[in-house]
Amino acid sequence: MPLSANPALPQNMLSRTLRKVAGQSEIALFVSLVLIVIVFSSLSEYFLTTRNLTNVLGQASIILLIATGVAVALIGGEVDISVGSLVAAVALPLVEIMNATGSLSLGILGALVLGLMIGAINGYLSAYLRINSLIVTLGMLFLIRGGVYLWTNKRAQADTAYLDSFFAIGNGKAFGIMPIPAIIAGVIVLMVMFIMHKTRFGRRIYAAGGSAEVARMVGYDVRRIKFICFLISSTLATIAGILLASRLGAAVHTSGQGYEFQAIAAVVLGGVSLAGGRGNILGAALGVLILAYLSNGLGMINAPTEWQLVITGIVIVAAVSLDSYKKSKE
Amino acid sequence: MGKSDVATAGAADFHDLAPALAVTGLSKSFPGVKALDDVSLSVRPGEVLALLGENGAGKSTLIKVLAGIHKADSGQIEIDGVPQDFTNPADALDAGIKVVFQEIALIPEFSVAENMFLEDHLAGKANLVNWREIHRRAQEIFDRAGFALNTRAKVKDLSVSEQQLVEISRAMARDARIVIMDEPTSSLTPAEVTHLFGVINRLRKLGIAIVYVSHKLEEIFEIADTCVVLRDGRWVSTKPTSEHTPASLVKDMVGREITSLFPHSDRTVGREIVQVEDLSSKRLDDISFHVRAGEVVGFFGLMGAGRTEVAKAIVGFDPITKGRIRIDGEDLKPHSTVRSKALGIGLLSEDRKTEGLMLDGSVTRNMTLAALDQFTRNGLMDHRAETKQAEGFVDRFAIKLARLGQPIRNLSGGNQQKVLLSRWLMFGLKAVVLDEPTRGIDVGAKAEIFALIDELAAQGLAVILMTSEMPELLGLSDRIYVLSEGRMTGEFTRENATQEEILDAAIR
Repeated sequence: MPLSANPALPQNMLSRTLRKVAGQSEIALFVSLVLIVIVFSSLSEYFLTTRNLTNVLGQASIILLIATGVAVALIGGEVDISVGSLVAAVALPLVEIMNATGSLSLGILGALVLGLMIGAINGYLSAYLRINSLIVTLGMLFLIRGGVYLWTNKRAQADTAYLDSFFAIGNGKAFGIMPIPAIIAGVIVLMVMFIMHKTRFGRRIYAAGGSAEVARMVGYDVRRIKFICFLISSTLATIAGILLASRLGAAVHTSGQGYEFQAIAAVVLGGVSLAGGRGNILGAALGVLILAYLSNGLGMINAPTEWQLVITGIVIVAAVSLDSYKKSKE
Repeated sequence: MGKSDVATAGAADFHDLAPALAVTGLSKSFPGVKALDDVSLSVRPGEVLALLGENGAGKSTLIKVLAGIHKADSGQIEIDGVPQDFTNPADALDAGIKVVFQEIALIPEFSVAENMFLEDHLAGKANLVNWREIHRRAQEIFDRAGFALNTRAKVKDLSVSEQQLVEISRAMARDARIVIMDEPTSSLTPAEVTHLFGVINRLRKLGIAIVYVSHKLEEIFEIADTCVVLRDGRWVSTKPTSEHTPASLVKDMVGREITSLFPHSDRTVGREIVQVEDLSSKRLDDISFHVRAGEVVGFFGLMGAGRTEVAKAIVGFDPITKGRIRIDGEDLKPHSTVRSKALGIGLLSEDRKTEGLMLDGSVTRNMTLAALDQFTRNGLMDHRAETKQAEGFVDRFAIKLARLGQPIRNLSGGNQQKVLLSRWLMFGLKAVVLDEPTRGIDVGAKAEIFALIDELAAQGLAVILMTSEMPELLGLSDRIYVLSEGRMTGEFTRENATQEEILDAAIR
């Protein structure tokens, strides 16, 4: 029987290095992103400006953070759609604590505590009590939104502390061009990418989502892994909620509505499987950027909002269909 | 690898060593069943111990207890004289027991190498995955074992036999002290089996104790030092293999002598039911054959020869690129399973668990699935008729179960297969394709399945049997077709078929 100890041939080296950074589908996503930029640049003179391109990054950073968390949960074989409401909920302790104490750190701490509590409840019910996570987080989505309405009496809670630091995290720009939220989101996404690919724990998340049964046989604590996925998801959504509150200058009771599905759409577009265990954070991030620039570009050419929705829908379904068609051909 | 104190122990002198694994008085009950009843055995470093027994003899339960999946009610497990208390699979692994299960336990999306080091990913400081080392170590193990595997291939792209090699490599990667193999050869080619035995011999030279579960007696005589037979959850015998004959082993296993493993009743061969002309698909090239009513036609081929592909193509499951398939004179068009079922041909998949059974469904639901129309009056289900019909088949095939409503998951492989056969009989097929019908099924139950197959043909069904087991092929088939790399390379009648010529055609 022949041995397959083929030493890396020189011509393989380049493609292998490329493959290490990104798989085939990530390259395809990147090319699509570039195409979108080229097309809209030719359609609108305002599209291809540093100001516009970086602004979109700033706007997209909130969905990017949420989508990254949702991607981690999906890779771990679970769904978290409570994040849209969570974004609104965590802004309440943030703003109220800041207003009362004048401390941004304490406000952020308060937001994180609430976010982690919600994540822990999602995780406990889904991972330990084995209730379907779609149902658990769907329930949580309604429950939190209702709670926010009750707490605020359906009125936005304005930030009255007027801290410069709080204003800066959502609205500031580094070197006068790059929005701070984009930098925060970028750094966090890179960290999650590193964790998912380079650390043992990240690989265990993939294993738990790819085959929970096998993972258990190998001796992983699958329940704990999944539980932590929910904590990651809710933590990232909490950070998104803090950035959003800063942009809005208030805890707005209706904020974040529909973000959970925008995030799932982007993540799926980026090649993350709803069945778990497949996809990666780079792809998910590219999915977010594609949808963000698409919607921005359509806005630039004055396409009505209705049509933006229709086109976004077509893009998502077409991209995923193409992908599964390609897979079936393999 | 290997522990130094036993590393020098050869295959011959393990008798002087203390047991690596000793099990004493193990008992385990499930609701309604005593699965294990006071079972004891021990295996020494470098020894290959064959664990034998029929369906429900308790082998699976014993393995699961040793793997830390089930907890025994009473009894003791000792490793190197130290009593163990496994509460989960990780404990058993840490203690040095590695079970290579028949159901492949690998993560499909992961690479071969990553699957081998799933436990710790060779992570060093800061829990970082050491990818380079993972691939290097995996390659090292393949080189040592002589496996032709690419460390970077995704497991989902491998054949079942290659996946099994990955599982075995995983045990080697774990430096396991005791390796338990549950039917490791059930889907390997003869060449791969020889390879595996080479690996087992290397493992035993390293002082690893091996518990080998298999139903293929010729393998037992080739590889095992000692045979332990269980029956109905109880220990029956422990003897050196040299003191056994195939007949004595079978007798210990079933508690009676099996006279004829392959019944072959006189049957009237009728018209051609299945006619296939110039069938081509992604992996098949110009296949033509026919099967008559009352005939058992065997298809032989090594792994990847295209047996399963033929099976799935002629029942409309997989697409074809060219050719014509007729069932009882009618064209299989459109090419779909809806059409093939309407024409009266059905498939018993080699992969019972995912392509045949609804594991959580009751026995009745699984059995009557294809024939629901028969139990429907004015659009409503007649549950009484359904149950009655199911009971009839349970009696007729002696299907062992607690009650009809129990999930089929809990039945043994042989009984699950009988339920699937009942499903198609109940529906009233004209032709049935059986893909590896005895895979993972033990001797006693095999004989019953063989009798069933004979009965199917006697009732006038056209039976197509896909098998990689030569005795089964020769014993059951009226005619034999041989496949190699998607092409048809031989046709034999029952009378002129010889093992040598068939193998020759299979590698052509």
